[in-house]
Amino acid sequence: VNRAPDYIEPVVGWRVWYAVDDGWGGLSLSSVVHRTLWPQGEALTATCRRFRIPFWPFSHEKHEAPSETCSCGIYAVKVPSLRVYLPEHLAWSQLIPVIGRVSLWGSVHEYTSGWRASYAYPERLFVPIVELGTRRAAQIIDALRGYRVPIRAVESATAGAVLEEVRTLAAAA
Amino acid sequence: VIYALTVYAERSCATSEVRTSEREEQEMELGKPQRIYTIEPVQSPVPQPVTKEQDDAPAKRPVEAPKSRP
Repeated sequence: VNRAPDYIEPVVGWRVWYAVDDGWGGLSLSSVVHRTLWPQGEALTATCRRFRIPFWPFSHEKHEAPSETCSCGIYAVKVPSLRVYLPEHLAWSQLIPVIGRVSLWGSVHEYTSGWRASYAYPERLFVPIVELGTRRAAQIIDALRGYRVPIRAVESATAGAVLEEVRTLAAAA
Repeated sequence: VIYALTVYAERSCATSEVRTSEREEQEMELGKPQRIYTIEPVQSPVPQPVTKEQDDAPAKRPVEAPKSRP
């Protein structure tokens, strides 16, 4: 028997991704800590990637993500915790960071600073365009349109200023 | 002892993702969850493509007010 859900609206948290080559000539969002590519047009489903020794009786059992006994799941945080994932000066980064709000649903574990969930999809994206140049910035924003969510350019150069600008833009949206 | 060895093996043989997962947990300092709940959105959070049919759908005809009797 399926349990009735506790809520019918997704939780909205914040994340940082990198815009990376998806191998097909386009760009996709990639998690910062893991190398997970976020699919365009479909939800990302969490899986536990913990290493297990096959046929070994004492191995951790496979489980659905997130689990209380594991750190698996799709993470999102509240704005103050985003700072950890951004380099101080974005212009010095070799990668293209993308900041965004993300919808989370399925099984959701709520913490003081964020959430872990079983399903996620970007809700709104902000691309810091400092040092990218107008043409490159336009290319990147265009390539991310496949996610079909609103995308805004952010012009600040330091992590603190970017977060402040993003917060203002998000509040005005 | 066997259990301890298993845990050690799992940790030391772990892929980079697992190691970074631990890093992520440390950075976020999530600790214990305050609440655990389930969400089943009524409307999908994944935006659906706008189909051509929807674009080309004719606008609804305005409903005419019933004519009054002469």
